[in-house]
Parts: sequence; C-alpha cells; structure tokens
Amino acid sequence: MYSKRDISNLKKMTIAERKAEAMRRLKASFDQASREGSLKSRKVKME
Amino acid sequence: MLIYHSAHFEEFPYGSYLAHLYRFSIGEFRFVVIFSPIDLADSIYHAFRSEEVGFLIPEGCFDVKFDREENFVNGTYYSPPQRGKSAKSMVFSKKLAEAIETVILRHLITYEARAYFAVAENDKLRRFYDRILQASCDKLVFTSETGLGEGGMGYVLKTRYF
Repeated sequence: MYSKRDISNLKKMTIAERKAEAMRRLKASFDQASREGSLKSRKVKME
Repeated sequence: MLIYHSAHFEEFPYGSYLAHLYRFSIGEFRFVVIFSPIDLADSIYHAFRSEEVGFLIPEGCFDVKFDREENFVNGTYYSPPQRGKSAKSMVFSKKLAEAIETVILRHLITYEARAYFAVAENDKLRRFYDRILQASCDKLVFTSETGLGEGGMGYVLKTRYF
C-alpha cells in the first residue's frame, strides 16, 4: 500500500500547519492550471 | 458595505479531481473559498480522513478553506492583514459569516456535494464557524457535527445529498 501523502507527517502537523500545507498544494495546482490553460469556469447555479 | 459574489466557480485539476475556487469581496476586502474533493483514489489517505470524521467518506465530499485573496496570491496563507488594514467590526464579521454561508450554498446547488469538512485552527475561528452554523438554514445543512479530529476543532456538514 502506498499513499501519495506522508500520513505520518500529516499526523505530526498542527492544525494551522496542515491547513497551510493544503493551501500550498492547492495554490500550486491552481497556478499550474493557469499556466497550462486548464483552468475552467462553471457558472454558479442559483435557486 | 457592498458584497460582491462571483458568478462562476474556477475549476482546476487537483490530483485525480477538480478543485473549485470562488471569489467574493466585502467592501475592499477580497476573499477566496476553495473546495477540494477528498481524494478517495488514495486508499491510505481516504482511510485516514474517514477515521478522523468517524464515517467512510463517500464521493462528493469537500474540504472547505477560505482566506484573504492576497494571502492566496502571495503564498502567505492565513496571515493576518497588516495593521490598520483589518476590519474588526461586528458588522463586518456578520457580513463575512453570511457571505461564506452563501458561497457554500451556491456550491451545494451547483455541485450537489454530499458533505463539507472544515477545521478551525483557533478558538476565534471556532466561534466564527459556530456562528455560521447557527445561522445556516435547512437548505444548507442536513446534519452537522462539531468537535471532530485533533483538538476537537473539526466540522462536518452533511447535506441533503449525503
């Protein structure tokens, strides 16, 4: 079994560290999508 | 104090899934909310997250994070605003809670999510999340659980699609 994430390291992190790390990963993915033109837009559905 | 809500979610690849970014502003203060799907393809991570929330997480469940847009752009995640550039009024806090509730509701209607997860890293944020939960209408929350995960700071909102 293999995880892409370091679970033992995640468990050692404080809540703030874990949130910041998640944001860092999200930002990297967002930036990559912006560079590669894979960013898409979906119209908000309203009630 | 004018509130602006984007008419679109910005979707970007995040692992095997698409994450969703939403922008809104209250007056001059700009924010982003990011919805990232729980990665079920990674079985170890899936088991870890399921253990934290106390149930087997199905497809269509999202972590919710919000921050000032400036922090997201500059990589200074969750940093407080500079002195003199923060809005500390109760009115602003109420508007922010209402705006976040609106964003989650819009995400729910657009993507029919089953559940949302959030974590408060301090007591101030926990009180703020509690306020959002108290104000949330039946449209948004089917059931909510708090006090989950490490330090009891985790939240689970199960929606009508759960």
